[in-house]
Formats: sequence, structure tokens, C-alpha cells
Amino acid sequence: MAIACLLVPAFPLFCELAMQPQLLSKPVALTNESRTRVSERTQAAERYGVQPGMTLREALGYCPMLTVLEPHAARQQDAARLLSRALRSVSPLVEENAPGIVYADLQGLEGLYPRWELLERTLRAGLPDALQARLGIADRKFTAYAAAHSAPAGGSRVIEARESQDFLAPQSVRLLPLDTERVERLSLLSLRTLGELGALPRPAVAAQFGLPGGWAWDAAHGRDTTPIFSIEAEELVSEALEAEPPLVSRDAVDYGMRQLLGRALRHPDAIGRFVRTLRLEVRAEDERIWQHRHVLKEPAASRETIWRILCQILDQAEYPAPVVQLSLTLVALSAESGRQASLFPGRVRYRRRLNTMVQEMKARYGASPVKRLVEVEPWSRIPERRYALMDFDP
Amino acid sequence: MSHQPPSSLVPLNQPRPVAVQADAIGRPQRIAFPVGGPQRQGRPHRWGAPHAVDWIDEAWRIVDEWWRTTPIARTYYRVVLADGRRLTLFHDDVSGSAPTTWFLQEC
Repeated sequence: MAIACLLVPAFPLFCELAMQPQLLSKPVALTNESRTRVSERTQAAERYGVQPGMTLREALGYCPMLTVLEPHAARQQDAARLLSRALRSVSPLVEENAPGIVYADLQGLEGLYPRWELLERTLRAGLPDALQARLGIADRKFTAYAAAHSAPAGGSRVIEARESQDFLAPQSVRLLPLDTERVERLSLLSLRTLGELGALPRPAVAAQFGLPGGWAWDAAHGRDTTPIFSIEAEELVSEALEAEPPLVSRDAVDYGMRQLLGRALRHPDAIGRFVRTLRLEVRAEDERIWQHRHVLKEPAASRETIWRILCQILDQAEYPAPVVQLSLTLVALSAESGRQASLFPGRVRYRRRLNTMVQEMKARYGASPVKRLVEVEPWSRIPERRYALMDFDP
Repeated sequence: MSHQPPSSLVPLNQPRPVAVQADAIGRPQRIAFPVGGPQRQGRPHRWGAPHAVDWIDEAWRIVDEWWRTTPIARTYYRVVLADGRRLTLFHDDVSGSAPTTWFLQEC
């Protein structure tokens, strides 16, 4: 067992249902961003004929008792963090592949988790049940994904290496992460299962579908070699502030942010450290988010310096609605100041020496052999008119 | 008192002459590069062994400064030689009677 996949199908919908778990078994539809059409629906709604892409009027025509929910970016972000954090609790190598799909490399964890039930228990400890995350464990990335897909809602499935081919054979080719056009072509060729795809010669599949086709053939045989693309967890200090009632004055937001900065800099992990990046997040009353990430030109540790930069950012911020939560994260903390030094140390001295040498050569040869590259007509259609060398005259 | 020569501006990427054998419609087929050191004004160049042009990637024409006594009219070709080298050369469409009417130039 090497790879775990934590999957939440219809991720935006389940992020909303996690807030209202009593709706899990009811007909529920999630609207799209513009709140005009159905983007996801529960199984109960599907039984009434509600399909993604329908207008809300159509959907309500099919199912009058349909509950319609709107997507909230903030909730999806929270849920994505929870999934990632759950896997990071067991493995340092975690890949956030797509919203609702997270992988972890479990290589070498057999000693810590001799039985996969122990691992699953640790994983699920930080996950809300209503998210109904499915866990798939297999020796390859795609097989783990397919295992998670075939697991019951909120359950898990483990596929041993020796049974992966038999497990994959009846699975739909739509599980393959190929583009829509290729999936349509598979369907036109009457290839519905991974077994049917795998029964073809690999060169023929690669000839029809290119490089992704060759990969799909390998995946169908349980031989996908895609590694886990793990991003190292950043060293950070985060502080947040809840506002009740919501803040409507910019001064109040600024004051709150100043308080957060003070708290963050007093955090034991931040004392004596330098900050390289600031991450700001403001949540509005209607669950919309304003986010900003600012990389400092040079690491800073002084509260005044960071506050000056924060003020500039906050001055230009446009909050979507009254603010209910502020958070400030100090990212990429470094032990040293990391001050950017000049590429040419002692540049002034170097320049003075160059000037003296050029003057000596001019006195000796009558002209300076040192030239400077100048732009003459960089826009010209005639190549030799664009740049020229000019005497370097100190 | 020493004489101070005026500061000069030396254009970069000046065209360099090459010998080209063109086909009936003027497209380069074989290219020979000059050998030996720089030649004095008016003396003919000596050319090395010709290299065959494998294909022409792109061709374009520049006509400019038609209001001056020496206008500019060039047909550029981006070519790939049989040995894989990629070059950009042009035919000077104005100096028809000059000994060298083909030049190499990076664009």
C-alpha cells in the first residue's frame, strides 16, 4: 500500500451540506456561480430527474420540494484545508490534486500503521462526517483514485497490488483524467470500461490518443507511474479575528488587522524571525472572501515596517460586504534577515576603477576601446538600426 | 593638446555577405560563406564550400526609406541547412548589379 486518495465527489455541494447535514438525504441542488443553473445535486434530487445544467425553474418543475443552495468559496476553501490537513496528519507527502481530490504517499508508514483501519481512524479524526469523504488506498495513484471512487460515501476501499487489474477492468473510462474530447472519442469507439481499453494494444491506443492515451492504457492496467507532487508545508504563523457584529468601517478593519499583526509577531514561532510573505484574508457576511498575498521586497521583522506595507494593501482593498472575519498569516519565516546584497559588491569602487582605466586608455590610444550598448531604434524593422555600441565615456 | 576623436556609434548586427545560388523564383538553394580574413574594399570575396538549403521556414519582405537616395528593399528568408543550422538571410532587392546581393543577418 503506497498511495491514499481522499475524495469528495461533487465537492462544492458537499461543502454546503457539511454545514446542514440534515439535508444529506433530501433533494438538494447547488447553483452555479451566477446562481441561475444547477451545478450539482444530491442522489435524492437525481431521482426526481434534476440534472446539472438545468435552470432553477426547470429543476423546481421536476422537484417542487427541492432545496436550492448557493456555493460559498469560503466553505470550499475550509473543506479543502481540512482534507489536506487530514492527510498531512499521516504523511508529509501530500498532493492537492483538484478541489476534493487529495493524495498522500504512504510509503514507509507500515510500521506506524500496521493496519489500514488505524490510518483511516487518524485521517477521519479531523474530518466532518457530513463531508462524506471517501478513502481509496492502492499501490498506484490512479488505482487509489478509482478505489476512492468506488468506495461507499464516507467509507473506504483498499485495493491490493495483485488485484488492481481485476478491480480496474469493470471501471468506467470516465474515471480517467482525460480531456472531454478524448473521453468522447473513447465512447465513440465503444470503449466503456478500463478493461476494454486495456485489451487493446498499447501502441494502437497511443496512436489514437497520443501521450495521454499511453498513460491511460498503463493506468487501466494498474501500472500508472505518476508520482505524488507534494508541496512542502510552509512555515507560517496565522492569526484570526471574528467580528460580531460585522465590521462596516474601514478604520475598524484596519484596527483589527493591526491587532492581528501584533499578535502574530508575538507568537513564539515568529519571535526573532523575519517574514517574507504576508497573506491576508477577509471574510464577508455573505461568505465571500477577499484575499491578498504580498511578497515583501526584503524580509522584515519590525512591526512598523510590516504595518506600513499592510496599510498600503488595506487602502486598496475592496471588501465585498461587511466583514465578519479577518485573518493574517505570516508566511516563509526565516531565521536570518536575508537582505538582498548587491550582485557587484563595492560597485561604486568598481565603477571608479573602470573610469580611471578608461581615461588612461583614452590618453594612450586616443579613443576608448570600452563600449556601451545603447538602444537606437529598438522598434525598427531594419535589424541593424536597433542597437549600437557607443564609446564608454566616464 | 591632444586631438580627441568624435564619439562613434557602431551599429550592431550589420549584414554579412554570403554567396547564394537561388532557384528560378529567387529562393535560396545553396549558400556559401566567405573564407579568409576581411577583404579590402572592392576586392572580391573568397567563398567556401556551398551548403544546401533543406527548407525555408519563413519568408518576408521589408521596404523602407523609399524617400531617401538609398532606399531599403529586402526579401528575408529564414532557412534550415541540410546540416541542421538555422540562418536568416536576405536578398538586397535594390543593389541589383552589386557583386554581392545576399547577406546574413539575425532578426
